[in-house]
Amino acid sequence: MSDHDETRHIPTVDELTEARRSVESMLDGVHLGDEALWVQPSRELEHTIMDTVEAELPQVASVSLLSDQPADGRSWWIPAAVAAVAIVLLAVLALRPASPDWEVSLGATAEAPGVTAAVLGWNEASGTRLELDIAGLDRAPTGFVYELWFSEGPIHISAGTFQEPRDVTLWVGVSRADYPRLWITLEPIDEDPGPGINLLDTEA
Amino acid sequence: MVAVHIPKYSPMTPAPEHSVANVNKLHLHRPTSGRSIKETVNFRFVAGDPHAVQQIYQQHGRALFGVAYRILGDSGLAEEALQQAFLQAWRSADRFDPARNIAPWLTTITKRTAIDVYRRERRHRADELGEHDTPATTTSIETVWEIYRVRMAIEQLPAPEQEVLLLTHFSGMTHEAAAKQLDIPVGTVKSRSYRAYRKLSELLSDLEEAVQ
Repeated sequence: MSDHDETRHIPTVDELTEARRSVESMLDGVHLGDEALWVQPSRELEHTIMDTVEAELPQVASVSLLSDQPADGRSWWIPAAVAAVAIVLLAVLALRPASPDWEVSLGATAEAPGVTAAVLGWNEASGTRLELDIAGLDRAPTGFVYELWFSEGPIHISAGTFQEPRDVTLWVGVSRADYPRLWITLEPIDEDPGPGINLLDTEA
Repeated sequence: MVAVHIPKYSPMTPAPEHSVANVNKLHLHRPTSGRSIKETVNFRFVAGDPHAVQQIYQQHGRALFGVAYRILGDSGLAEEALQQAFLQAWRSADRFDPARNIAPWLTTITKRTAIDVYRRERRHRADELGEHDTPATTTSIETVWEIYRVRMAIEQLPAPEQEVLLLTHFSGMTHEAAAKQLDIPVGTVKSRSYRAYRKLSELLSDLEEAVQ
């Protein structure tokens, strides 16, 4: 609507007052001038939060162990810390074995001829850590991402998205044993949550 | 974390005619799932997809920031609280029922982490702040939920209407001053204000029931 259209019907003082009161009558502990309604977070906050969350992925075991350390400053914290580090290392080694628990090859569909991929999985207590080994696939075009899916019949679970098909590490909260079909799609970045173009598939 | 069974999606799109190399030129027609994206993001969040966290932040982050700011009154501390809130939500995602609206759950976590941050800061400045909690830490869950809801409603307004409300309410300008600031007629400021109030009334109508 242009400024001309907007000024065609200018509300009267009474109309404006009534409309404003209508909003304010719905509010209890808040008013429209409340700073909390208008102040904005920095643009960096989203990245900070994502960095924090992603840093948790491989460190869940170590964080939970270290969080139990005493914080009262007593001198025995050094051997305790050494012991904790040893425990963490053991836990990491136990949870992240050198070789994967399983490996699945994905065949190329007609949409991605010549592309090959393998999904390596490590079964962990709270889900599955995944590494993708993909050859012959370029970075996703602008406006698109690749997405790995775990499926059982019509049930599809996203294991995450990526743009650059190199050194891809993902994590999913379900077990490969429950979802035998793995496939990678190309997804336009939009509101549609369903799988997109099938590129690589265990069933191809 | 339990396995999450997502209800059936619509069938795959018919095989496109073009290769991946030409995909930028494609106009993709994919069937929609018939389910809201919010619900699907919830499922992905519970399933441990970090990208779902990003989507949830983009959808709710600013409103939750308002919640933290209301308690802390400081942007830096509010950001710290929100960062902790998202981390806590991520760590306890397996306890969230993905079929439910995630906003009240996130609002509650944000309120709690903001109060934790506030109390930590208060301990550091005990002499200045006295022995008792200020009203900031006793802000009710109803009030922070109202902050969340009103912010989300404001964000649904067109930018010109948000701008007018910002100037007339937050900055305390008269309609005339806002018109001068925006270089538009006073009548336009009034029209935008009027439409903004009407839309907010519609968007927040359920709050009225709660108040009454």
